[in-house]
Amino acid sequence: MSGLNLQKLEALLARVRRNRTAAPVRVHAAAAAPQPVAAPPAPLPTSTPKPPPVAASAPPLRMEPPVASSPPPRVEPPPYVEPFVRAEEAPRVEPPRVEPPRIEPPPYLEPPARTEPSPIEAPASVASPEPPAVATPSWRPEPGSAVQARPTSVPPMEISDDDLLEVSTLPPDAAPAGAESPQLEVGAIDVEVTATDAEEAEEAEEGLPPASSRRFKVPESLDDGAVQGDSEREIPVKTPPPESGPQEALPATGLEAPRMPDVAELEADLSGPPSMGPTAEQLGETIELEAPRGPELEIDVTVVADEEETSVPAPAEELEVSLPSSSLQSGLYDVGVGSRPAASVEAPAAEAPKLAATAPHAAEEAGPERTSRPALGATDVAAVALATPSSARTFVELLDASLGL
Amino acid sequence: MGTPRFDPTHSLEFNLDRGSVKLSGSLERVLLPADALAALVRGADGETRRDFARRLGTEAGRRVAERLDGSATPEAVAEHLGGELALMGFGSLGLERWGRVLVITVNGSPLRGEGDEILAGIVEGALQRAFGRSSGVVPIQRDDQLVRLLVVSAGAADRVRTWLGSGLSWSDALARLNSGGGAA
Repeated sequence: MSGLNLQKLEALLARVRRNRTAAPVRVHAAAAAPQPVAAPPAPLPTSTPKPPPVAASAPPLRMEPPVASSPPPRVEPPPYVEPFVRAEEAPRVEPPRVEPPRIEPPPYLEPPARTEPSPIEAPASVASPEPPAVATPSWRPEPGSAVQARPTSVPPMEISDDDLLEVSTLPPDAAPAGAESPQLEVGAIDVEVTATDAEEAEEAEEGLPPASSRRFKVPESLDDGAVQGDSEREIPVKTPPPESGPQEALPATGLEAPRMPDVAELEADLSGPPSMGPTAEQLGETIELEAPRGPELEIDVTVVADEEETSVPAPAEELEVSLPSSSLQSGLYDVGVGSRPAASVEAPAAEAPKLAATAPHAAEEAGPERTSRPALGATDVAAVALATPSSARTFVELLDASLGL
Repeated sequence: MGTPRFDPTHSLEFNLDRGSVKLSGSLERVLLPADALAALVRGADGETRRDFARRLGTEAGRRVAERLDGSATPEAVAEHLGGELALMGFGSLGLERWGRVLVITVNGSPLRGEGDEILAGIVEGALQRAFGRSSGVVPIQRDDQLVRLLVVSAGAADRVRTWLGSGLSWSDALARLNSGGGAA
């Protein structure tokens, strides 16, 4: 155990003692069990309703001294041990009787708060089989405060770093000479110190700096804090310095790595001679065709001019009529244009036998005389007799017609 | 003057206290099953059936005559006479003209084929009561639902019955009537 730890332990012990003496500052707001000794009798009636189980049993016992009018010179310890009565016995205890005039606070009771036996002694005297949580150390009156009983569920004393921080702002007080250090608290401190030593021992064995900085330890005093700030400041080794700047991004590997083109292969392709056509791989197997055998096929595409000359022009071409002159407006036509007189005139009668070229010439020459039917003019061929409207307009007429049959 | 439409509102009155049924303020009616009436008609002789049917037709013609006059159109007669026939529950009436021949059709008669003579008698009575015309009505054709009733004179009705009895079809009989072959 290093000297520094010893100093810490001593500071803690001093702080514990101060806490015990200064505890009423926290409990003052919840003062529900006034003590007839330290407090004037006036607050007693207000505290009678519902004190905590332990505190409820304590006041009546203290308020029952037979010699209330004449306070004894010194309070004996046995009456103060009574608060350790079991919780089951608490209801049977009579409520505190308010008799303020007969009770006078002894002025000399302040010292006994410090001279009282430690909380560990009280359970021993009671010899209670209850667990430690129930058999909490007996509450002792403390001087100059509205003393409040400590709840039984609270552990005896736990010292945290926050408490140390509060204490560090105050100057350390010297422990009373005759006060005994509570063994329980000391034991807890020993455990803490042991754990710290183990960590340091491991670090020393490894000889390597820790991966991360340790938690900042609160110094015991301002001076120690100043010294510690300079000496025990730790700098994480693995933490990159902020002035390192941007780091070089390494290419991704594994599945996240994108497919990188093969630059060398691409460069080889570019350096080669340019191809003038498809490659053998692109063409595949090429089959050479044999030369054609046999006579050559010649196609004559010449146009026979005789057929054009002998062909008869189509009748549609003969019926062509020139469109009205473009000088007229749209929708008008030239009245002077004849009704195809040339077509009827130009129709050559001699061309008809040409059309009937399939007929034998002998039959054509010896055929019967044909007499064409004269053309009929427009006339009414059919006379339609429309159905006469119903003669029976009424049902009676219809009935009479049917009855007349 | 327009022909009033047939309005059957409140035509049928049921008096449950008295247990009576009245049709358009007429005499009390009896609601009978159609098959029971058909059996009754079947058991009666011809003259009884014809008299029974004409009484029914006379009552219907009376109500038609209250709304229609001699100037009523065939459509109006079909509407009102058909309405009265429907209120009695004898089916749906219609009119047909085959040339000059008047044919009345009844569709959906509950008496079916056994009630054709009843329907013929009802039409004769209605025409007699409504329009003052004596006629002879002959059932000339029938199928499952519809029956055609020829409306002619009494003499022509007898001839048509003879034709139909000789095997002449009803269409040929109508054609013969229209050609005047039936004239005595």
